[in-house]
Amino acid sequence: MAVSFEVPRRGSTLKEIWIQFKQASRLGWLIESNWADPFVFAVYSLIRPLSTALILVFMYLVVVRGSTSNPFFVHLYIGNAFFMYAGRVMMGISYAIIDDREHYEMLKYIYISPLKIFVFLLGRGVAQVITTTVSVLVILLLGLWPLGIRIPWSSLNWPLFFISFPLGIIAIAFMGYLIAGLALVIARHSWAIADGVGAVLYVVSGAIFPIDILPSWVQVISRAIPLTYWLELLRRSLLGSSFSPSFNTMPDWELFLWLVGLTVFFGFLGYFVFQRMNIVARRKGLIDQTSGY
Amino acid sequence: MNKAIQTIDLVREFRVKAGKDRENRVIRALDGVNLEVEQGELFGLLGPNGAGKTTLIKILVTLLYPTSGQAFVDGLDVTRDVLPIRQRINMVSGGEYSGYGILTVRETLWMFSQFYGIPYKVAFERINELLEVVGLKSEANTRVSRLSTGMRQKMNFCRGFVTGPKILFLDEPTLGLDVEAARDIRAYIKTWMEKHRDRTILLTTHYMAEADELCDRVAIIDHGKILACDTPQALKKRVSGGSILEMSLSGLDELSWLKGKPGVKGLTSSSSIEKNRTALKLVLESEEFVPEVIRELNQREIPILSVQSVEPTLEDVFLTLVGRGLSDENSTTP
Amino acid sequence: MRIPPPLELFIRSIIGRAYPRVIGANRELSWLIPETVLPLLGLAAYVYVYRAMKAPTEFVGYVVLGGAMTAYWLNILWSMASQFYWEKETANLQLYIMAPVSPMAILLGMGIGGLVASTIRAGAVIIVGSLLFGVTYQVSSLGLILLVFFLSMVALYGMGMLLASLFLLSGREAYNLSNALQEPVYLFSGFYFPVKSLGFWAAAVASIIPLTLGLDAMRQLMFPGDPTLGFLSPWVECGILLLLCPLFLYLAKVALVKMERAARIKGTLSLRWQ
Repeated sequence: MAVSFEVPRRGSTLKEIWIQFKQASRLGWLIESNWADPFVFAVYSLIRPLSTALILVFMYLVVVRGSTSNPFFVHLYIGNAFFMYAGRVMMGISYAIIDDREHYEMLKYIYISPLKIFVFLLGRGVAQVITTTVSVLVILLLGLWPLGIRIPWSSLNWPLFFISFPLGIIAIAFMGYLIAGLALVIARHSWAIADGVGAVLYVVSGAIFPIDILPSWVQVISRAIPLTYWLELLRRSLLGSSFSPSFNTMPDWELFLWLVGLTVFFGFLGYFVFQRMNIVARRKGLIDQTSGY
Repeated sequence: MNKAIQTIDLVREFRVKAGKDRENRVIRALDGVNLEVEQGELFGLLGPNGAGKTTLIKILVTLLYPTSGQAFVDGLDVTRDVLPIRQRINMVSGGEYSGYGILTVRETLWMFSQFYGIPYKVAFERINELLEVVGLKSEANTRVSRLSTGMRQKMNFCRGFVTGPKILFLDEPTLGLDVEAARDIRAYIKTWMEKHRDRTILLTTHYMAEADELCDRVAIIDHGKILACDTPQALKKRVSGGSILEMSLSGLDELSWLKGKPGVKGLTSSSSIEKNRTALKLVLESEEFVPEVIRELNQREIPILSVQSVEPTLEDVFLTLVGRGLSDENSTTP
Repeated sequence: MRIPPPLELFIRSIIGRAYPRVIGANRELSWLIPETVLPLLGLAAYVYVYRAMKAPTEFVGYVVLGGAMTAYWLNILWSMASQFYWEKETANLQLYIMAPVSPMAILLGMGIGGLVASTIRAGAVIIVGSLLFGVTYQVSSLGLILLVFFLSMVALYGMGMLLASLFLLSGREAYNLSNALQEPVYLFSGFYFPVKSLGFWAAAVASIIPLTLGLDAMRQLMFPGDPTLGFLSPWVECGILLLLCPLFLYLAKVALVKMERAARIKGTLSLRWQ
């Protein structure tokens, strides 16, 4: 049988994009999952997230010296667990630029292949969603037992959870594109920007404390990012109550509308910034730059 | 006086993991190497990639234990007398870089000189001289991260000389350098040896012209074994009794069948698809076999465009000893 | 050919290897911004958690001090423990091993250089963090604080020197090992809460990491608000650190010899071997 050397096509139809997405997801999975090595899997999916969760547990216990079923602790614990998606999915997308450019030196080859860079990055994000889900489930199990967190199973709002959860992940992916765009044009400190944005979001989104405690000017930022509303909706759907008093009076639908609106906004922003930086990077010849350290 | 370098039945094996379901392999990189290098000699070790040159150097510079046999540097045992050997030697590996991108060229060389306890004044005098000689003086205050590959390799070369070693190991020092940079480096090696007659250099290379140009004596190594060891002139004399032919043939024919023909000691061939020609080099036992070879080619209807007899080179010595060229693909497997 | 006296060679080598770290810290000041801002953001989250729980004010000080100390732990993991691995990747390791000086001098040079660079970062975090969150210190014995800090650093960098050889001996990628030790040590050494709350035995085991006792003693000496939060008395902690210093330095030397021997047997000091 003759070997085919058909010229590959840069995907433009929906079907072709879907095929590329599947390939990119598989590639992302192979790069990110590390399932083959139990040690590496344990480091990134268990040891690191569990340690961070336990730091919060001990911080709580040393001050409150009370039960871990206290609503404050439960809100804090759940917020921290779900925030992991923000950290890892966003990082997965933006680090793909840094890693493939600096470490593997593959970015230039991705660029000249028919695979759309947007789809390639999405593949890395999908892989991170899957591995992070394992970590989140482990953290939640640790919370239920032995920490004894009480979840009101009978009053869980599953519909709210299942429409809010994926929307938040999409919003996170859009934010990932935003940082990936910046990483395209910044050499030395690109990793710091990626880490820094994650750290800023951890503070301003109220993942582990009510945003009301923040200075008022920071609260303005909190209300301008989808993560704040996403975490609030997840808490409401799972725990039936708000962490932040200032959200107490806001109905679910209003929170949801904010999440939808900000997701769309960040979608446009992420796309615009990425495409713009993409042009800048190619104009300045930054696609194959390495910082040499 | 001690030999600068001496090895006795030196063997080094590596255990190589062959993958999940396959058994580990043992590779014999050095297979009973016996070698003697005199003080003040510029000694070349010529062999293809994977012949065992780097392994031999790593053992001599105390980075690797031999599996069996003995090795001595300046009369000192490489397994026991580690510190005194390290005080006497240095090594430069071509294709490898050293130092940190954040430092300048001068700072990098100074840093390495400190690990040998060279006083500041002496170190900077040497650094200035070396940078001048290799044409890097204008880059002395440039950060290493901003150097080109060739410049970085030149700096690495200077690092080997800055400590003033008694015995210097140069492992493929011109690997990957452009023609001009390689020429500068060869020139400096010659000058340094003329200036410091008590010093010894062991140079490994797979460029025969480099070994021919620089070395007092050359050992030819392949598959971990020393096949011959003598001055370049004496080695070439070994094949001068025979006949070396360079032929240009029309077409892109496969010519390995010639190997088994009477009188053929070795051959290399390379084809040019663009020109539709094949260049064939043959080492024959004597001129008597020339008509025989030409008849064979005619019988196979391979048009001969030109034939000329040439003077032997070290490549021909290798070809005669091994039956294939230094750059042949199959010579890379250990 | 001049053979320098061993002590001169040792000191020259320390200075030589410390140089790129100290110079690096000053030459690339732009690194200072992310390396100060990132820990500040991390500790800000924990400060707000304590504030939301209405914790006593000294807890904010605990977090700022702990957050500053992360600079040292990160330096130990990424620039000491992983360093031989990186040096091997860049072909420097074989040059260090081949030099006629004890690799301990190279490691000490790395350690001293790293300590200077990390102190600049830790200092910046302490100053900015304290101003930002209004931390007040009640320093009762500056001499003892400096002694604890000095002993903690000697023991900690001794540990880093030990880990450098162990990481290389393990044969695993250094960045995975460093990641495996980063957050767990934040947890077990009590970077963001008093280590006593882990329970006596857990805190006792965690004390093998010099920052555990160093941080606990410094907190007691700087924020004496609630004496029940201290694990052991600062003097006892000082004494234990005094024992850890020679222990880690000795173990580092033993591990170096073992690492070099194993590497010379297996041929793993350099990337090229044929």
